[in-house]
Amino acid sequence: MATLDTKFSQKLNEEQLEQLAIDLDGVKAKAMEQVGSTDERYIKKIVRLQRSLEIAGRICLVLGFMSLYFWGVGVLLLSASKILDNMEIGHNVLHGQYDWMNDPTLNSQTFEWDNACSSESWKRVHNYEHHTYTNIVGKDRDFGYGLLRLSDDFSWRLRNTWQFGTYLVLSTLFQWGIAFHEMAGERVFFGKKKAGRESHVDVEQLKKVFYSKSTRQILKDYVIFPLLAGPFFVMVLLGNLAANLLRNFWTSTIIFCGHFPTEVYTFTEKECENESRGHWYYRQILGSANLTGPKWFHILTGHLSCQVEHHLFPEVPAHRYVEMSKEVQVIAAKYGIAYNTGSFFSQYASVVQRVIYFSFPVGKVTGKKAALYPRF
Amino acid sequence: MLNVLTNKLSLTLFNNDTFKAYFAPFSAKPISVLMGEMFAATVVKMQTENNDMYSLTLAISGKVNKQGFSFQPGQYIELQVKKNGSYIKRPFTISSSLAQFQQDKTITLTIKKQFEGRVTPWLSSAIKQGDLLGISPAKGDFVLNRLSKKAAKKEVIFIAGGSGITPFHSLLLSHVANNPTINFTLLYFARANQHALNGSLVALELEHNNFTLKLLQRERDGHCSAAHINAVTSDLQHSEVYICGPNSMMDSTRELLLDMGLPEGALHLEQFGLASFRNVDLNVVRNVSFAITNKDVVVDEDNQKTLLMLAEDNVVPAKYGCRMGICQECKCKKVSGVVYNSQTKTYSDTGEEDIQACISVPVTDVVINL
Repeated sequence: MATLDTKFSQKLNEEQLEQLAIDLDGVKAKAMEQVGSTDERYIKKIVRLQRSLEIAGRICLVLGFMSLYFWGVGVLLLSASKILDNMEIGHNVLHGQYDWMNDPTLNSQTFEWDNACSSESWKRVHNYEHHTYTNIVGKDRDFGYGLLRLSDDFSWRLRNTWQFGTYLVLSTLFQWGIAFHEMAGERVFFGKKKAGRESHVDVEQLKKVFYSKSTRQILKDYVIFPLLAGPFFVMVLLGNLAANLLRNFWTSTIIFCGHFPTEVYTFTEKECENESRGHWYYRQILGSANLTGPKWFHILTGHLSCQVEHHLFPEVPAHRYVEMSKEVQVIAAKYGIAYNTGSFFSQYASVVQRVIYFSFPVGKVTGKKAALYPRF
Repeated sequence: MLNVLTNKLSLTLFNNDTFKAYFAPFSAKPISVLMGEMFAATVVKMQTENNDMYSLTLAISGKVNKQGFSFQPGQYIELQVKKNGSYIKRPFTISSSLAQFQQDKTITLTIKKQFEGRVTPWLSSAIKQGDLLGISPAKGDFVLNRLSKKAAKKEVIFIAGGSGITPFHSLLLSHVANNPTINFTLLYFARANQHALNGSLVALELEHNNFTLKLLQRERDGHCSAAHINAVTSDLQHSEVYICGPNSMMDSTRELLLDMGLPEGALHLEQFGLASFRNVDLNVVRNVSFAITNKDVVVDEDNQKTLLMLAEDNVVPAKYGCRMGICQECKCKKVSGVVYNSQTKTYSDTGEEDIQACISVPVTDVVINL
């Protein structure tokens, strides 16, 4: 289970929050001072690796006619390539972590990724809504994705009974869930728009972007690449499907582990009105969770294994998070802020625990359980 | 047509606008050259001119939009260099002649070290022979006026201050020999012993009767005055005058010449390069130009408003999200000028770069792509 020294995180007064902001700004400034050629070489190396994996994977899929073994390797290589493209490259580039390079191929304003969700939509929902309003129930649509009840902030409904199944389906179709996320929020096809939701883009635009990006993605993996394989059409099509599914499971699992293990805090809108920068930082630490693991694991998660650091410093090149997390943990301890971290398996087990716990009609969480599902 | 089709295919298959962009990380070429926006330029020679100026000779190859490189004397180019992992563009005047380019496809840039600058002091030591850089097509209209070619017996007066000599060097080397009916005069103001490129100018004067060179020392001769002008022409009304140098020098000389009866149309001024941050006067009104909307806004010295607020106040369409520097929704291109990042409490560079409008306050005149 996730480690927690104190049962509940300490509440900080304004003065402490101000000092916390100064301390964390210091960590960020120190990292940003070092950003330069090292980061350029790193991201270029990862992109070269991703391109090589993709090309090798697509070749192996076609060679699958010689032996099923090739097909299997092809699926693994292609899904690794898609995971790198989405996580360590796409997600981080879209946060503007490499904009300072002035390289149009790795710039947040122009980058497009191998995912059904268009970059533009992703930036609005993820970069803006999720990162600004992390875990504020009602403002951060990523908390439960409007499908899952993950805290006692929501009242129980019948459909929550089978929400573990819903979660598995969401994981399987994850890229489509993400692509549809913004449209669902704006209720483009059905229902009413939630009152008070500010929209930065009109409905027609939303539909257009959704259809053009998803059409391209479907054409690529299920029409053009299979056609290029000629007689091995079906084999390539199935290989692409398998690679997409593996990528979906992986990204979904990592993202759930970064946000929904037990001991992650939720907040109400009222608590965060006119919040200070210090409070925003405080909320980011309490609203995220880390995963420990070897270097390759961090890379395959796009360093979202350091979700806490990512939420504190979304525009710092992500490969620096592992190093930065040491300093962040010292600061968190100094202020008595619970820092949620653990191994992949323990964190994932606690995600499952949360999803299942709230599928039952439990009311307000009290007593011992309150430490597992804490509120600010 | 074929291009559009391959780009569509590349976008569909690889989520990149071009196949080149997909393979870009495998190439060592400067990104703008690879993407076909700039010419490839190989460093041929590096030469010190004086304490704070050096010359960089570049051999140009490749095509941009099917066009080979060409320039008119007096024009400048943008040079793209990579410093600490970051591509930076800076404008520099071409100081070499047309003949040099026709002979061996090289141009020379004569560069002043802006000591507080991010590029010019670093570049001289960072670059070595054989390095590959990107250069833009030639830009600018500080070129010899065609009208003066037609009219017989025209007087052309060039007035240079300090590093403002660079376009004149190119103009003179290229035009003096080819226009024997035009009398060229150069008044070149600089500190004693700091006249750059004077060797070739002196040689040019010895060779051609229609060129007069006046090397003037700031300490001894002061600023450009009526006496300096009267000493080189008795017919100012029928002259064309070109001025390039520090802003204060250009302002005072312009006023002087208009007072002396020079028609405004015969006056040509070139403001070149980027102001180094050291020279920026922080206590003045500044002009924020929204380039896409084509709107200019003037803000006063105690402006605290961010670029996003200024855009919204003036009905300039701007994307925004968190309004606190997190989400990057408001990111846009600053073409020139210095902005203050109210979150990191740092000043930006002077050149082109991406900035977050919601936390950036203009500090100098700023041009922004909004």
